[in-house]
Amino acid sequence: MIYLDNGATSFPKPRIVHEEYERCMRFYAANAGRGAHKLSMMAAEKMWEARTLLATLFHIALPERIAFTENCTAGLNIGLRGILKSGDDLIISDMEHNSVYRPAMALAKNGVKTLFAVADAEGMLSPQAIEKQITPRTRMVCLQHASNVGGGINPIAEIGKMLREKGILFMVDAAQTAGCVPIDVEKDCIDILAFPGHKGLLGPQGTGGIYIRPSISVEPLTSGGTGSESESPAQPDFLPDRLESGTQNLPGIAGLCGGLRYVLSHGVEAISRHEVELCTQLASELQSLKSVKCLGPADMQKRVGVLSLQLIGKDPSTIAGILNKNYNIAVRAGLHCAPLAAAHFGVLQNGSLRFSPGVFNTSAEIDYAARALREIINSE
Amino acid sequence: MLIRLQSMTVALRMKDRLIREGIPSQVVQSPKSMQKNGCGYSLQIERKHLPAVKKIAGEMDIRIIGVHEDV
Repeated sequence: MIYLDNGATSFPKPRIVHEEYERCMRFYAANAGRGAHKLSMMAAEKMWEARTLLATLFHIALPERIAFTENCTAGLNIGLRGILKSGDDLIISDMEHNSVYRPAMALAKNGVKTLFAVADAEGMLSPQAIEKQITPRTRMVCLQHASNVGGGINPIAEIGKMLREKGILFMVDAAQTAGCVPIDVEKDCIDILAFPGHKGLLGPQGTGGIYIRPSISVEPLTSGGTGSESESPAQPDFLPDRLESGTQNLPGIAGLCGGLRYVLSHGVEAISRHEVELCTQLASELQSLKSVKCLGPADMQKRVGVLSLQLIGKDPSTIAGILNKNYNIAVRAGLHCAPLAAAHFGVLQNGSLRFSPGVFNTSAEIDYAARALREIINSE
Repeated sequence: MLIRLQSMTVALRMKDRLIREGIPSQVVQSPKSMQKNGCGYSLQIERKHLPAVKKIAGEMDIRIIGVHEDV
């Protein structure tokens, strides 16, 4: 199968991810932070290794400020629900994924008001668009680093600097950028960063994390056993224990270590260049199709490896089905769990057809996919 | 000597730094007798390294909860 759905989850994974996962399952999958026998210590050390690799990647000074979650959505929920209080205003964009939009809407009954910063025609946010929505009660801005529909990369460093000067918390949803766009929490003035382990970081599903800057306190959404201060009925007040109740997904985190090592050794910039080149090639090869319109920035250098197509007079789901059945190509069709973005681009009714190449896709595969789409469109 | 710390994660962070400073240590579960608040972890070090370890903990902003003789 030619897999072009890395925006949903990356596939395949590098060999090192399989090896780390299997080695953990076979030799040391004990419970980290519970007891101190050899296997438990090996487990704990693997989790620490993953934290330090993440800290290196995102330029985080204190690895213990990173808590593991089962995916990016869980991290976003912690950041939103665990920090915002009644009377706070929250700003999100009109492009956000449901993993931000839904918890934001749910917080309305807790007295948190959500305002929407409006993106431009290419789906990109500007500091000015955010600033227009700021009120005296604005506590946090939560913004996607890049859209999983339009693919545009938002200028988070500029936005972060502006918010830091105003004393407003800045949470970044790095679902589409962790591992494929450079992120520096210090330079980008990021207070909270939520990221998946299973997309650009090339780890297994069931992994992700959240970074919280020191001095920001957060209420955990889950309380329970942490292997620390066990006699206290209260959840520990220090990270990562405060946000890591219960047994963690150690095999997944071990696999994530493998993915992180792969990303760090290949370089985020090199991975980004590769994925953008493939999207550029695809866009170029589809230019002749009048019924196909590319959503997002015209300048491909402003994108991640995501290219969504509006199909005029065609149903994206039907086309995706033909690509799957007749051509063995995996893409995604529909709203991509981002109805806000679909509405922004005017494709809420039919959705869009999304190609999201990854680090292991090739130019030949893109050429084949483009030819396949041209055949289907021209035959309908 | 046992240097009692807040959590496993803190113990591992400190152990990493001690390795770089050439100070051997091992993470152990703190004996129950020295814990006021339930389960915890300590770094086991040689007594001669105690002054250096305390200094490093200060530099790293790591709180040492207690210092105990090995049991």
